[in-house]
Amino acid sequence: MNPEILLNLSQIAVLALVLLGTVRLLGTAPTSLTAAFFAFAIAGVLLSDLYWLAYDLLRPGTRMPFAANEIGEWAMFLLLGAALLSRCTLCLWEARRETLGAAAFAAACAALWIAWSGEWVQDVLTGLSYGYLLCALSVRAKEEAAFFPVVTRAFAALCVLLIAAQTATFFAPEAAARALDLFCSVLLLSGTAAQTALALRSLKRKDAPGAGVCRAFAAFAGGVCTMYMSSGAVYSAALLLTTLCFPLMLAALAAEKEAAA
Amino acid sequence: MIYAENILLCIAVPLLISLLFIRGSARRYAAAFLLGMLVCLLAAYISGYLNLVTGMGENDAAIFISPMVEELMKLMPLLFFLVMFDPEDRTLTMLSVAIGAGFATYENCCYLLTSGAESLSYVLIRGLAVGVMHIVSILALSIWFIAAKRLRAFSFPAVVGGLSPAMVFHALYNLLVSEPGVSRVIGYILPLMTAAALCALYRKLPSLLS
Repeated sequence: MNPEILLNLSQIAVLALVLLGTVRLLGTAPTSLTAAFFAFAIAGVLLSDLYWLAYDLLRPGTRMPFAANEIGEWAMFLLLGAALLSRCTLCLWEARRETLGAAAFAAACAALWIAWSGEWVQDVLTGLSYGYLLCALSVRAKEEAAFFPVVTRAFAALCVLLIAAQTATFFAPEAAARALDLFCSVLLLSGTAAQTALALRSLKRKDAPGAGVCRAFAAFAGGVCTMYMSSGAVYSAALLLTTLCFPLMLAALAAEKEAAA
Repeated sequence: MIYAENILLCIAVPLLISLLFIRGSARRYAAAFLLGMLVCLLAAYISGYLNLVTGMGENDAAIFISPMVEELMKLMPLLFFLVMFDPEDRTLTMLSVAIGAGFATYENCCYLLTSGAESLSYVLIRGLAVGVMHIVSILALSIWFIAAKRLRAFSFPAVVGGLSPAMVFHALYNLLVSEPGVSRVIGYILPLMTAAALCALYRKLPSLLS
């Protein structure tokens, strides 16, 4: 069986368990709104994954045109962003520097996706919804002081380096472009792995629950970016990391609920 | 070729007349049912136009275009009721079921006129699968809206977030039944199973959100 299908199947199993776990988070007033948004985001991804799996099994080898599962991905970004903002009291203006940075990164990513695929409408809408998630994440992370300033600066520098290197691949000679591509893949994967490790450590050490939520969501956002910017083995590794992020996000939300109770 | 507008007129006129003699929730149900049939016709126009523009075949259009257009069109009257009249939870559920049932009924009528109604088993499958699917997808949306309203989270992400599972569910159903074999059987069973799950969820909703 195609390894991508196996990975997708494992993600479906994980998502089904996470969805069941999320239902348990509903009910307690302060966190039920976050849980409701998260539950619907998970339900959307689960259905999108099932759709993708059905398509791959029924029509192997054919390229999927614009379909409903892409709307599922946009909705997932919007719902996860709304879940983050549901417990946030800071307004966008109070975190304008972080929000602008996040929006600029999302815009640069969307420009690169358009350059690769040529699918304007899809990539612009994906960029907008992904940008909303990143902006929500940056506002909430500022409120919770989820990352040390040095970590935030390191991630910002990595983002700038990534965009610059990916842009350079369009202009560099073929051999250099291949090397740059490899460099970007390593950068993306190591960044996502570092974020996932940070989120795991924060859960293990029972750090501030709000910060834990931000770290888990940041790891997920990093994983998604890696998936969208890679193919082959790197894509599979990113898919695996992203799958791991779903229970991480659930555990972080459960810790937040426990703290709020 | 069928004359879809004429079929709508033929089914709608008795219902329209009946609106003059009924009151309360029965009237609301009948009006929403009519609205469901009307949005089905509009969705068919839009899907047909997009099918022409994109040059997809009929089968591909049913899998990729129709679910998005149909669910979006079903959302419109529901959203209108919700924003303009702020109905009670029970009324919202009733309206959503009526819109879904009207949509499915009109679609089934057109389908039977096109393909014939000789095979009773196929007609039953069509009624139990497509009929239930249209009701289930809009009912899930209304349950999400009820939850969002109770949690004071009715916003743009909430609307898109509710619409997208409905679209993907519909698209998944269309994809599964498009190929013969096991996938088609799974596709036919899917709406009934989801209806049972939604029924359980709807009963538990007050306790989940209290």
